[in-house]
Amino acid sequence: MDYKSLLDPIFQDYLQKLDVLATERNKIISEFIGAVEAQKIQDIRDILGIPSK
Amino acid sequence: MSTKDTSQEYFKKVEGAEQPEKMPDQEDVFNEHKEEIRNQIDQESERAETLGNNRLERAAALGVSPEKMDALRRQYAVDERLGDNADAIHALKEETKARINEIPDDTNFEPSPESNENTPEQARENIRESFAEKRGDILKDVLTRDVVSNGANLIPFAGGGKMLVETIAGKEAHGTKLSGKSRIIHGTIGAGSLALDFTGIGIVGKGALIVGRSVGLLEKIGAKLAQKGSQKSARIFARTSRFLTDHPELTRKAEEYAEERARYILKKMNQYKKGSRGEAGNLAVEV
Repeated sequence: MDYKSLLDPIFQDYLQKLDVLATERNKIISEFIGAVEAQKIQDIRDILGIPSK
Repeated sequence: MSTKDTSQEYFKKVEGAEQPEKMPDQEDVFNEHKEEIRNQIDQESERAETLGNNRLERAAALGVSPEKMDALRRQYAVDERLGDNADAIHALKEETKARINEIPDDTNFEPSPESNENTPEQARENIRESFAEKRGDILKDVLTRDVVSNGANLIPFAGGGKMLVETIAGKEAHGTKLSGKSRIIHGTIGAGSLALDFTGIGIVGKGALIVGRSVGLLEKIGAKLAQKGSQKSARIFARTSRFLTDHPELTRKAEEYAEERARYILKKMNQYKKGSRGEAGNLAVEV
């Protein structure tokens, strides 16, 4: 056993868990941005008088 | 000024001089690695907590009315969810750092039967190699871009590469043969000056710049050249590094000499940067 074998697994475990959280954050943001963009499109349709599909 | 002119005098001066500063022991190396991991955790956490912020800014600039934006934020509970996510990232960071902090600084590591990687000497060597590898990558690029040519020593950076090539060739560009001490000194100054160029002037005063590094640097360059298919060049670098390894005491003195010269050159460079251009002309000769 060397000093790296003590620290590196902890760091790798951290990176894996962080990746899950980062993916979750991306998903939250993507959902919200999708809703904002949909709202923007709807606003334009309303201005132009184009009925919703 | 040729490196040979002052080297003999320098060797006389360093005869009987004290050994280079003591290298860090196992606990120091371990703590250094722990600190490095903790810093990486801080950086990765910060990166994750700000991930996607630019996308949110772009969405806010789409022109949807504030009222509708607020309604969407509530509908998707985006603030709460992102807040919870940030809390989780922060908690993960603290928990991981706590796990690292629980490991005693003076942990006694048993040598692995397959490898002696964990010995203090090997750990120190790993640090040296890590340094040499980074610089070696850059030096490899310099050499393969054919920067080294006649007159290249007008630039301190390229001058180091030119000196290494001359060391390998065994003679200076104008034909003067290099052998024995001269060749070692030439190579260590070349390796050291390149390392200095990439290490940055700010490191001066924070410990050895060249001592103990020139051989590792040359070995790494050779390995990189071999990977690129430059087998002939790689063999020359390997021979040069073996040459230095076979003469450890001489190499150490040469490195100390190179260190002194490099610090002198850096001092001149600082003066040059402050506007004393007259000093710069001397640089090219002295490198």
